This record gives sequence, structure tokens and C-alpha cells, in this order.
Amino acid sequence: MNDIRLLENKARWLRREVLEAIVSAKKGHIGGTYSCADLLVAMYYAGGIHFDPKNPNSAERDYFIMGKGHACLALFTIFRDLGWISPERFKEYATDGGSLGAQLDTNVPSMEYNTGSLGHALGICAGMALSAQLDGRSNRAFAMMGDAECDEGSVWEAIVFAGRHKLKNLIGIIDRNCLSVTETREDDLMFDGFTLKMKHFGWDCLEIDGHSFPEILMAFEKARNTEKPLMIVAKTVKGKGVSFMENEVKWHHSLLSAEELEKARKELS
Amino acid sequence: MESLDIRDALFNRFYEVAKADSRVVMLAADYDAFGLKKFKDEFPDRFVNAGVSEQNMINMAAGLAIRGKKVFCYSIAMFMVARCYEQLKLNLCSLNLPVSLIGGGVGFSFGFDGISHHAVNDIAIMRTLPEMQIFDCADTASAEFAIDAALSLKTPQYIRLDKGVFPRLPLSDENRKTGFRVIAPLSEFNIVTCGFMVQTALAISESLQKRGIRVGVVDTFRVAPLSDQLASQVLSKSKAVFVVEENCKQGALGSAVGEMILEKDIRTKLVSFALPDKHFVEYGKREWFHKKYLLDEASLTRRIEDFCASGV
Repeated sequence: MNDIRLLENKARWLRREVLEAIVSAKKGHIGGTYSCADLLVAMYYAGGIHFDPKNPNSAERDYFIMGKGHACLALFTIFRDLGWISPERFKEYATDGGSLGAQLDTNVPSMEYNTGSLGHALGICAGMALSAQLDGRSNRAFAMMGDAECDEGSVWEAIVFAGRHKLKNLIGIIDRNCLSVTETREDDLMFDGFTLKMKHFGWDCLEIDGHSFPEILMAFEKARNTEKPLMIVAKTVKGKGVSFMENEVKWHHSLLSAEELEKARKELS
Repeated sequence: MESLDIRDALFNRFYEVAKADSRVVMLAADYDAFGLKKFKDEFPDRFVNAGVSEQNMINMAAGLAIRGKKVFCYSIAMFMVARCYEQLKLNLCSLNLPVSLIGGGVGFSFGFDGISHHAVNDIAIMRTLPEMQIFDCADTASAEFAIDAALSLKTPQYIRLDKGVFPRLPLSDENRKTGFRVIAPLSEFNIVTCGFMVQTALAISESLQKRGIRVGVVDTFRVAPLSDQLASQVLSKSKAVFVVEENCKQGALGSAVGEMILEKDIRTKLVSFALPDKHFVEYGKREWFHKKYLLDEASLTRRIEDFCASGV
């Protein structure tokens, strides 16, 4: 699916489904799920990552670790759409004893990591990329991270190792929504001149609008032909898609009033 | 007469298994060993220097293991265990990946390098991780077995590796199953010990024997999980159990044996000879530390003899 209009519809559908699930369960990290929704739609519906819809664990697939696992509802929704999670199982989200929680675990098809702690995904993907290289395989390893996640030193350990060892089948995606749990990331200390910083660490880097499908697709196209590890920094908006949520720290995870819910449903229809 | 350094024995066995199994990969955190030279020369792609990045080393080990590699990580023990606790817990143990961690410089091996290097809490820390098997090698036989076990285990494994030449002790097939061996015959008083202190314990047993006091010695080379057979074969047959270890008291071998005694309601007296629970901001050879903290042969012999003589 490369039709931009169709992808945008899919993304709107995804945000609607996530909203309803959070309302139903009274639990969910809505802001950070909305900021990466378009990226995830591109990965699963526009060939951003290579996978087999009939087999979540196919040997030829690209590996994907969702570092920011609190955005899991987006993946649950996509996997339900793909038939990897049944509608019944989807309803177990955030219920007592249910098999779907507010983080990902290895019982979710195609997920190979128990998320919840930030800063590990890139290093684990580096190990997977290294493994593929040792075996002469063409699988790539994708790690999606938040921007605040890049505060973690272990992310930089992985960056330096990958650059030094030329892990060109390692791709990092940073959902840069400029908000953490508690604050706005107004200073650009981390991300100012990021492409140049990454260049000096031996990486290629693309800075894109994380809500523009033409730019997202261009980035994933470049990711098919790498000479070095690649970092895609997607400038996004936390809470994107619902006007009153956009860029508000509060919506990391918060519950909607009846009035807010009506407004949100209208905007996402 | 054993002449092989325990490290060489371990890495020789590692080389043999690595040669036979192409899945084997070693990551090292800017740490090396003479015994690794053969492996590095013959299989350069499969030795990866992760640099001074222990956390990333463990994370990459997880990624490699998820993809089917048999991964060994090699580092100074405390750097891997203390610094990387979250990585060990979440990325190896919760995923139950068969990664083997070789920790060098155990106990007061690095006696002049200060608290960061003293591996005297690592057993206690690793005991909190249910999936992590802990091997403490007292000699070349148990070191070789630790590597053999690495290939058949389907769980994370922590191997404590000492340095130097230690007399080789017998290790039977039964011992491999139970994870402990009786190396001086059992009596009503038995020392339970592991790692470096095994030699000290044997010397104590021999010297007490000459004075007519029989003390058995058990080497629990697999510190975790402790076999139930330790309870049935040793603890429940003992009037007193002396746990001798080069670890801080809190949470280590003494605690493990104590927990077993409580759980199984065993009637025996447990006496713990360990290090005090503190940080040792002091410097000296390993022997100096042992003498100061009464873990040397002479002090321990005296203390154990007193217990035996007092009728317990």
C-alpha cells in the first residue's frame, strides 16, 4: 500500500481503535501511541519492514523490537488486523489475568522482548544484526525508541558499538515527540545537529516529519540500501490526531472526560 | 599433580566446544585471557570485543541468543553482575536465554583494586534471579564441567572463574547431576563450601583429622540451584554444618544452606564463616584479607575445632 490517502485512513483508523480500547479499559499511554502511529502504519502496511502476514516468525523477516513498549496498543490493533491476535484476545487488554498488558511480552506474536525498561532495544537489535551478519543473512533489525529514551546511556553504548562494527543492517527509529513523562524537551541538547553527531559515530541519519507519509516512505526506502547503521529521527507530536492532546505532557497517560471523548471521536472519524 | 591454571583449563574446554559448535560466540567487555588466544586466532569473527560497555554487551548477548547463538560473555565479575543487574534480569532471565557469563577476579583476587573489583556479593545478587544457575569453580575439573554444562543448559548461567593452580579434585557423573561433591568423607560435622575456599577447607579437614576430629568437606560447585540431595545426603546427616565462603554473609552460600535447613525443617546447627557485610576500603593480597577476616586456614581450623570440641 503506497497510496498516501489509504495510509492516512489506516492511521486514522488505528488511532480510533486505540482510543476505544483505552476508554474501554480505562488504561493506556495514549500520547506516545499516537506519536508513532504513522510510523507503525508505514512499517506494517507500506512495506517499511519485511514480514510475512501469514507467519509472524518467518525466517526471512526483519526483526523488530519496540523499545517504547508502552505504545503497545497500536501493535495489538495492527496484529488483530493481521489476524495474529484474535478479537477475543484483544478484549483482554488491561483486564485482570488477561494476556495483553500495558507493555509487550514474548507471548505477543512476533515480539521477542519483554518491554517496560527503556534503553535496551537498540543493543538487543545490535546483537540480532550481528548474528545475521555472522550467518551471512540479509535480515535487518529495527529498534523503535522514544526521544527521552535516548537519555539512557545504554543507547549510546549500542550506537558506538554499531558504528565501530559497521552494523549496516541495524536501523534505529526515534519517535521524537519532544515530551517525556514529566516535561517538555525544549532544549535541543540531545538532538541539535543530530545528523552530524551520528555521522561522527559512524551512522547515517535521516531527520523526517514523522507524520508525513511521503517522508516516512522515503526513509524506509533508504533503509533498504544501507552502507552503515541508520538512525531515522522522526519529528512527531505526542497525542497527534486529537487537537487537545497534541503536545500536552498530561496525555502521556490520562483518561478522557465524556466531553473530551466526544470531541476526540469526532476528530478521528 | 595439577599444573594447569584454572583459567587455562576453562578456556581450553571453551575452545574445544566452540570448535565443535559453530553457534558459539564470545563477547568480552575489554577483558582478555591468555587461554582465549587459540579461539581468537582460529575464529576471529566469533570473538567480539564489546568494549567498556558491559550493559550493551549483555543486551547484544540477548539479541544473539534470541537468534540462536550460544553466547558466552566474559568480564570482570562485579562489573557484569552489579552494573548490569537490570539487563541480566530483564534481557536474559525473564527471556530465559542460554547465555553463559564468565566472571573473572572473584573474591579478593583483585585485592589492591578496591571495592569495585571485590566480587564478594555477586552470589547474593545472582541468587535473586531464579533462572540464573551459578557455578563456582574450585578446580580444573569443575571449570571444565561449567563449560560442558553451558552447552546443555537452556537457561542463563554465571560461572565464577578464579586464577591460579589448584589441585584437581574428582568429579563424578553423579556429581554433575547434583551440583556438589563430597571431597572429604562426611561425618557428623561437615564443611559446605565453594570456589577458592574449597582448598582451605580440605586443609582444615586434614589438619583436624590428625587431632582426631573428623570433618567432612562438600564442594557445592553449583551454588544455585542447590540440589535437594544436599539436604538429604549432607545437611540432615550433620550435627553441625560449617559454611565457609569468601563472600559477605548476607544472601550467599550460608543463606542458601540456611534457607534449605529452614524449609525442610532439618535439625542441625548452621555455623557461617563468611566476610562481614561491609565494603572493604582497604588494600592487600588475598591472603592478607583472609587473615584479617579470619578466613585463613589457621583461624578457621581453630574456630571449627572450638565448635566441635564444645559439643555444639
